[in-house]
Amino acid sequence: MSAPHLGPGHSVAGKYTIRALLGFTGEVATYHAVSNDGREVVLRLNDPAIGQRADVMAQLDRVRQQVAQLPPGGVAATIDAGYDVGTGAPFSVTEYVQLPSLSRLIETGPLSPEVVALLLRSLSSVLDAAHSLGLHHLALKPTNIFVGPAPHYQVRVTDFDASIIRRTSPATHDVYSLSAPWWAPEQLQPAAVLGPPADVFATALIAFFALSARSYWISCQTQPPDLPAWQLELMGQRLPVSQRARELGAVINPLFDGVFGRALSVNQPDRPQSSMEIANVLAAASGADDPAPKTLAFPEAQAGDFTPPPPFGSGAPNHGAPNNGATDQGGYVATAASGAGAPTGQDSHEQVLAPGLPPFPQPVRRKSSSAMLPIIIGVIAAVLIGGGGVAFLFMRKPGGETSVAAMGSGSAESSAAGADTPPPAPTAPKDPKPSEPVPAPNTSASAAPADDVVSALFRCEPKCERIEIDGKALEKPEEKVDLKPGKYKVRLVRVGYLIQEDTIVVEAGKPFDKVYRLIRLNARPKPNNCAGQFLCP
Amino acid sequence: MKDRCKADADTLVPIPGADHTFVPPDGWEYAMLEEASVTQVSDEGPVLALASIVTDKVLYKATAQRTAMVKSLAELVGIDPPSKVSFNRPNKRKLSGLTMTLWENEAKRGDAKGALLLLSTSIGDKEIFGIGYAPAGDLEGTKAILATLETFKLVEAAEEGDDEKSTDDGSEKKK
Repeated sequence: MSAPHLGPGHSVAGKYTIRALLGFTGEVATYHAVSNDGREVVLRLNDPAIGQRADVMAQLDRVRQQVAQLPPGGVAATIDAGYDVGTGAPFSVTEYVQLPSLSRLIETGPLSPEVVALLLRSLSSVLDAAHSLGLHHLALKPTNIFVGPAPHYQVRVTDFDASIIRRTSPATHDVYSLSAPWWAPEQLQPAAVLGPPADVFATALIAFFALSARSYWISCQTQPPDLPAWQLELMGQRLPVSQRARELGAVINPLFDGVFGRALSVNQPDRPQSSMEIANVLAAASGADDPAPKTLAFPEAQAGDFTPPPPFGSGAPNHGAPNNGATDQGGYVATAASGAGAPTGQDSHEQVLAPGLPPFPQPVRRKSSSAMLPIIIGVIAAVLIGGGGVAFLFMRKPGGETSVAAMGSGSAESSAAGADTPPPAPTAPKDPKPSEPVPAPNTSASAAPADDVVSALFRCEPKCERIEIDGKALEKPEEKVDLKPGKYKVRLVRVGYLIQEDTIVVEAGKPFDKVYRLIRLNARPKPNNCAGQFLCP
Repeated sequence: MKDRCKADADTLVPIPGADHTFVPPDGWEYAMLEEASVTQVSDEGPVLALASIVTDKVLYKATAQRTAMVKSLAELVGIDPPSKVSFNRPNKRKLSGLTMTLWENEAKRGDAKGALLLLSTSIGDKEIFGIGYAPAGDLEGTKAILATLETFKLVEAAEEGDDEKSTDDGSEKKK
């Protein structure tokens, strides 16, 4: 059984005439319809089986009553509800919001931080008002947020009952593909208590999407998303949003890393109490420090006048401040897990089991540049005191070329461990922008490389436009380069493709040769409306 | 199929109970049975069966009727349908000037698993309903079936004494 699928002209409850199908998920069919008095509405017909569940119908009624208490300018009010005798299906009718959804808006490109700040302020006002009534959306995504015109970009939020409908039956693959990319980690855990933090998490994902026109999750860059990979990402460690945006070919101010890091934390208590906090950071960083404009719909919901709802979970620590260990520099350090399956910290590589999910490997921890600094300073001192002259001679190769090997390996440990020839210059702290290309003395015509260097070849399919080794770009990508044995961080870049990063180990006497297959980025995720051999050849 | 005729580009096969014909893919076998018209490559492999039904106006009753039709047509052409026929995710397309609703399930014919296409299009007070099957990965068979859906044609009222277009097997040849 599924929701009724009706054609145009069909009458529902004798009061509404179907115009067009807007969406179909199996349990719910959403139609554009017209009432008998000519009013355009959105009509939702549920699976008749839902109508036979008194508990679900009671929940839906409660949600409708709560939504009716929210400021009307921020939601799509329910006009009517009942049962259609013809199909036996319960239905509800809301006003037809004649505004573009955020999803539609982003099709033309990402939005500026100023606009996203205004959107988030408006969205947060609605969500905070809902949360104060004990109403949680739990199904926020760009397709159920409708955006008003400039200069206020006031939003209207729909589908407050979507999560209730979704929980009536096991989620199908199609439902997962559409909705899962916006879920919070706890929404995968059957026993978890869901509340405002899930909406804050979703809002952060939506904000990232609005700023970059891309999903934050690498596994959701394709349609349909790679759901197993998404589950791993969702429960794993977070990359700063500025870095993730860079990987995806977008630009997000690193100043936003801190607040996004908290909002996207696996731990619910780490997240801001309200997504208004994200909006305020965006506004402050983009220079739009003016408080939210007064609106007739929300005369009481203005920045500065905002009264946060009671903390989620009484007795929880102050959610507004970062927890011990959390940094605002983009270091996404999770606090000790409360048993909910969150990572236990930067140094932990233990597997953490989340109820209902299979075990998954922790990602390899990246070294931060600040940890490298004392080691680099020590190396500089050793070189200046004892090895400056030798290193200078070492650097002077015939033809004046300098090899990457001579610039030092990526691993300060190998240098500090007393290599025969310490590197003449320190490895600079990790620079997000590529430095000047490194000339590669790797042609056979040049003088033979030093005995302890190894020939390395990095190949990409398709060809890379830039290859960086320890932050330094190769002058000629995809040509052999001489490297000293040790560990290196390799970065492979081609416009329109996902940037790949790899940590490699070059062993003495063993030439290194690796092929990297680049993943093409879609221009924008397109909804997948077809399935199967006939309908999607 | 008892009546195995070979189709060519001029073949027009009527759909029982409907005023429409279709053109089977070139080289396919076809037969007009009492309950349906069928065209196929062979007894295993791609097949298309078309019939007409009068469906109830209440959707869940109509769905039950269509489900019964699927099982009936599947049995006719030797397809193992899925245990639960799904009408989720309808895909509407304009083909042959008709708005057709298509669904896809999985099925088996002989030893080969494949895709089962269900189609429905309203023709006044009844609808043309059919099933199509192609083994998994058989793109040629899939395309041939989809192309056949674009050949539906409303039969013009026959002129008196005009029997030239009818062939011995009841199908029609294009003028």
